Amino acid sequence: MRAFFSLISQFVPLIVTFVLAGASYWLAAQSEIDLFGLSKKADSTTIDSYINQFNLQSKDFKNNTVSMLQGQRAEHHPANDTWVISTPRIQRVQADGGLLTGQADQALYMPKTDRIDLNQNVRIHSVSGGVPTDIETAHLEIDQSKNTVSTRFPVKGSRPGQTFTANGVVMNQTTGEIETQGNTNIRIEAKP
Amino acid sequence: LQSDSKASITIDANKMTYSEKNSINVFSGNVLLTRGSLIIRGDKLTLTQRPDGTQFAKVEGSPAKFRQQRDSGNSDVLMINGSGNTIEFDGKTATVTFSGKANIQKTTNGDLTEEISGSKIVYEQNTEFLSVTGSTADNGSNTPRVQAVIKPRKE
Repeated sequence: MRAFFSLISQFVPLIVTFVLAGASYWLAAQSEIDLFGLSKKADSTTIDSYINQFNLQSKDFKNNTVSMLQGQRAEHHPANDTWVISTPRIQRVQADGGLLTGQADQALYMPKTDRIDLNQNVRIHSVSGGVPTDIETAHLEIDQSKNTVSTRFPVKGSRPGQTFTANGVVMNQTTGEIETQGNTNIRIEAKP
Repeated sequence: LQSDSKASITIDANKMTYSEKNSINVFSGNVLLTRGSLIIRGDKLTLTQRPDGTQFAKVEGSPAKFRQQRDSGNSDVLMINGSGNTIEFDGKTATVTFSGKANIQKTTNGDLTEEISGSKIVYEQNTEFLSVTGSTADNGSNTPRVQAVIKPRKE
């Protein structure tokens, strides 16, 4: 047994040398990768351009709607092709007289999907069929291709003679349909 | 109570859909409608807003339940409890229609004083007028029967 250990102990320095050599090669390889940024994913926080006094107006000839998106500053993030807009204001006018105006602390505009996400202190005023609806929530998604406004966050809404609260809502601007989600409470004022 | 008609309506439910075109709200899931002392519970409530500002509510349940306090003019607490597969509440004519195993119970200070059942009961809130349509008798005869139980007033 003693002879066996003495034999093994002769190889220990050789093994240690190999381990150290391998480790240093691996470290070198890693730093090279970092140097050329080969493994680094595109960082979604980096911006490649910005616009002050951002003002975007568009006309959708198919749905015959005119949309406007404004903001104090818009920064473009190439990683996910998203514009991050501060103090955004939106306005949307439909052929049938439907109107949607809104504001928030921040907006994300995704041109590819034609979608606007409004975040923090979101206030929406919508007129559909001549009836105004006002909505307050923390987050709202405006899908311009589907012409819907929706949120899965708690929402407070009011219409003439009615106020409602719910855990989410979907408003279809084309049909004027509103669908709430989660516990819904609605209060209808008595006829004066 | 007379004052109920001047109270606002509050509705709680799991979900609501509202159609702009015909001003109809549909509530579903644990529906509770309250208006002053009036309470209606059911599984589904369809509320129609009329141009004149009044409402028509249709509540479906298994069964749907109705409860309201009646004006007594003295210290007695008069209640009316009703149930049916469908309860229709017309805010304009102040009538409540119970249909499908319709049943109404009147109580005074918690004591049952009157119970009426039939296939359909129309209750006029302002006049407290009740009209009842019978349901097929237990013995299978085709003549619709109405059943009313009126308890003697306590001495």
